[in-house]
Amino acid sequence: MRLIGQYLRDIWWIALGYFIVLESAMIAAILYWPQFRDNIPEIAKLIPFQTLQDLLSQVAEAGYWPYFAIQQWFKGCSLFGVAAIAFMGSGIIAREADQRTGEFLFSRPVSRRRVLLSRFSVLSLAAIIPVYLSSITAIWISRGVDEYIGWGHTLAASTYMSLFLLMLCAFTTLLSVISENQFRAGAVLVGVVLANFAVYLVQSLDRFSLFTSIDVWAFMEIANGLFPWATAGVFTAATMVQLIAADWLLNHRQF
Amino acid sequence: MLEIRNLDKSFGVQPVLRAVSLRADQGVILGLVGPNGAGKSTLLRCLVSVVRPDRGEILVDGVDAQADPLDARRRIGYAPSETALYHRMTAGGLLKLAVAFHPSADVDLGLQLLDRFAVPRDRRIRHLSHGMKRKVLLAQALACRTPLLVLDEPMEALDPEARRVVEGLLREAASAGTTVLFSSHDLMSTERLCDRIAFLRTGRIVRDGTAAELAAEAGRVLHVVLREDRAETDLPTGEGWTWAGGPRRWTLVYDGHAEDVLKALSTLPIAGIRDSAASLEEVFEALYPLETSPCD
Repeated sequence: MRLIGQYLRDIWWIALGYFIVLESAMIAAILYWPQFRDNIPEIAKLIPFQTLQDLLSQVAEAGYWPYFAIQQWFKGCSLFGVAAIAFMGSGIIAREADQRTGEFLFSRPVSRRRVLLSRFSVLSLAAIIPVYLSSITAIWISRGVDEYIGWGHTLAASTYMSLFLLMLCAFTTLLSVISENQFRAGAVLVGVVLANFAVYLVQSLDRFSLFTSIDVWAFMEIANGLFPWATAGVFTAATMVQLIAADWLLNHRQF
Repeated sequence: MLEIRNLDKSFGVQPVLRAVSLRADQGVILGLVGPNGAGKSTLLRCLVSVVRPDRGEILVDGVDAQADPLDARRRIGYAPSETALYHRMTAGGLLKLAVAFHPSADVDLGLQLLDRFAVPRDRRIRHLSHGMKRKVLLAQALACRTPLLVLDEPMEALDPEARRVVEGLLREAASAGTTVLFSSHDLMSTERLCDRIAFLRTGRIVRDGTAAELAAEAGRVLHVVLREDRAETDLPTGEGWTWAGGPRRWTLVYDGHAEDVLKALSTLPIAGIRDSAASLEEVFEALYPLETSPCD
């Protein structure tokens, strides 16, 4: 508990900020929906990339659910989620090296695996609890604009998005284990995500981007009752592999 | 209690520890002395598995520290250098975190020690002076109530009164059966406190013994006061003789027979002379002459 408490004290304000921003962005997006729906043709003309235009045409065809999925998960959770994970997760181990406190912590009779997993758990919960909370809030807020989204689909979509974020948490943890300072680990994560998004915007390359797996088509499948088990399995496997690698590397690291 | 056998450690191509072997029995206070860069801190960090040795064996209370580092660390109360502290935590909070993982720890003892050292429990580490940070580190190490205490420069930044208190606490711990290993640049404290002293130079143990054994090995010392100034070149020389000081007050460290030395000194205008065994400071000077001292 001390390990969890110590890490939680460091990140609670970032986690709270992330939740507030995610919740506010979601509420603003839902309340904007009636105006958006009425102006889709004009908005489509302003969008530069074909990939994003395809997302919009999906909204034009299918209505509120794809709009909500783009706003809440594709945009909100991935953008704010990545930023929060970069801030909260980059320091998991790298901060100990950066501030030279690793010698103090790892000279205690506590295993490095326990330190890593307890901090990873806190990071994961801090990253995914806001996803569920804001998505559940959205069920009620949506009624204010005369739209209905089902509990089952919303929770399934939140779970899918959470698995994606867990994969990023594990990636950040791995970066933090091998980095000498926190800033570098966070910067690499943000760089990789931005590069992925840039690839996503290029229509001929978008299948190589991670964002393809969380764009509107995945959430449309969920709405149709088809949970993307294969992709979710890849997210989970990637999370496990990265955690195992982080554990091995941390065990061989000197402070 | 603590046994180190043929420990080697390199960082890249730079050897830091070379075939280091040391032994400290239960209740013994062992001081580790050497100039900066000699490998003292690396040796201590090997004991708590923060640094992995390349070769060799470390036994802590019979536990192989490399095969079972967790169990070995349960038996070690460790005070690293003050740079390793969480500067945003309070003194009391840090102490509680530090002892939380030790099954034998006594938090109340640690908090009492903070009070005894006049360290405010609720003050953040970053707002403490160097000396107070050292006291927090010592308090947490002592509060672990382990059979082995490993302390990196425990006397650093402490005022003379605090040093006396710390010396008293370490003696108390040793008399209760705790083995104490510490590194230090404070030779006077080391000489006063330690049952055994090991000198480390460029990663090797160059001397290991009691203060008396080391002094005897380093030769005898004569403090000579002259009636007039003399340059070192004007002083008599002999094999194993080292003159220091001047121009009127000289110290001679010598090997061999006293009568040869006194015969040679009879040519000098001597105002006073005092004989003594070499102090640890003089042993240190003999082992680490200025021109060959490694520095970092």
